Amino acid sequence: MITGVMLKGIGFTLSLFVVTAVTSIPLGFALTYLSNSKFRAVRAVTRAYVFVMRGTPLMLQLFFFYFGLPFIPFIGKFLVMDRFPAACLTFALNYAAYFCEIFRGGLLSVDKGQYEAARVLGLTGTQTTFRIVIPQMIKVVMPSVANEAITLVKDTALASVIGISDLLHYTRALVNSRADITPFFIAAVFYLLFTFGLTKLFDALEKKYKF
Amino acid sequence: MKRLLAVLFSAAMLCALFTGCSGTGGKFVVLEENFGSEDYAVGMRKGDNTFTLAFQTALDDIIADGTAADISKKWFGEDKVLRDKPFPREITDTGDSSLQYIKDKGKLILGLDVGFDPMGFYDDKGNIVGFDIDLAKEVANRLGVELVLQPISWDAKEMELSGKTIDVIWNGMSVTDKRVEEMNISKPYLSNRMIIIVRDGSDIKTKADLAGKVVACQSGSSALNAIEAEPDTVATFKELVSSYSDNPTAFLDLKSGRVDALVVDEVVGLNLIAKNSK
Repeated sequence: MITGVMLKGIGFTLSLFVVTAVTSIPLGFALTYLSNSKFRAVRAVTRAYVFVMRGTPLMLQLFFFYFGLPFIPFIGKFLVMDRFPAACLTFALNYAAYFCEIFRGGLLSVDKGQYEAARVLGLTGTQTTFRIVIPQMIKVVMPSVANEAITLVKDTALASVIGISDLLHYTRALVNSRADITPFFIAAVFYLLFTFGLTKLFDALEKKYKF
Repeated sequence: MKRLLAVLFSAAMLCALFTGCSGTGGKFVVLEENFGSEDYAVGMRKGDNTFTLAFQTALDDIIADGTAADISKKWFGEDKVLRDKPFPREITDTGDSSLQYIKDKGKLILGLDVGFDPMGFYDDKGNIVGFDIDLAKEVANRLGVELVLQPISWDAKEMELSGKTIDVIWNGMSVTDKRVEEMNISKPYLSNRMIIIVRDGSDIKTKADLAGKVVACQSGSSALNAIEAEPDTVATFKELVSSYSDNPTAFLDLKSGRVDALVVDEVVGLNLIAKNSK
């Protein structure tokens, strides 16, 4: 019965997770390439972006994108977003910064000899990137990406500060009105199940990239 | 072996969590004395005077024709609705566009921190119900607009209001000087005493008996304001614990004996006791 009410919140939790994962990973990858750009200005801007996104609390960023943007003079009125899009945007931009750093670390771990060997074999730049470098990078970053994904599952709970009725919102509302903390237990089980599924998924992926 | 250990540890942790959740029962009593009373009212955007006045007219009608009394009987078993209270801050008709804004939109968005039983909370089907909600439905009806319930985070209520993401805050909100300053406040519609709850059999019978005891209340709550308004009484306490983020957690500590008394809004406190005895 309580579980039924809480299930209503899972939809938001799941969709926020999926949207963020699907958008922030490619975005993070793009940022990695920008941070390795030949142009110093591009590198500097990327570094600054990562610094700001990693250096401020996610909750503050949620407040900023949802409540703050509409108050910017002149352009503010075009930046009014609904709760869910605002949350997705914030999460995607925030997680992209973390993924950018993870992928950068992955690229650094690819030995210089690999590039040299690729050149000797006559591979083009694109071929080197997609056939030699990226597969090796993916193998290295997989555990960190899994880590971030699990953190993301739990971070989705933060979206309730801008009034998104996620799993934790229903949990807290039920705890408050029923004066009984069983919903906390049920929520913990939901999050654990979700995390368990993710762990299995990443285990499988890691096996695939074992070479 | 490793797998077995992992399973065993997880099972042990889940068991611990579950025991922690169940807790013990027990009976509670409400002292005759209390820490004064506070009024509940509806919050609206500051400067939305035309809307505030139209809203108040609708609410006054509902109180005058007995609809509000019926709603009160449904939730509290008695008619507790306040009548003929003045506005906390005088609202004059400035002829602004706020009423037109709501009418054009065709919606009245009510922001609430769901979980305040019996004012606004989830029923067994996950619908938001409560005393405030029934009253709000009636008001929206008479204003000729649709009522939209928007769960919000209580800490962000001022931002929600000024950002126009909600139109009213209606969730058993106490009238405080700060709020009167920051928003338009309706006439108070409900009065709420700050009651003192102790465990049954406790040696605390009066307010004076709180001397040397540990007293709890929710952080930043109106109960805390009410207690702090009596510094002489506070000085006698062994300790005033006011770091609880919500009343149920404070109540759990009263249950477990970590604190000796809990000061809380009457509607919340009576509900906590009722839920506990089930």
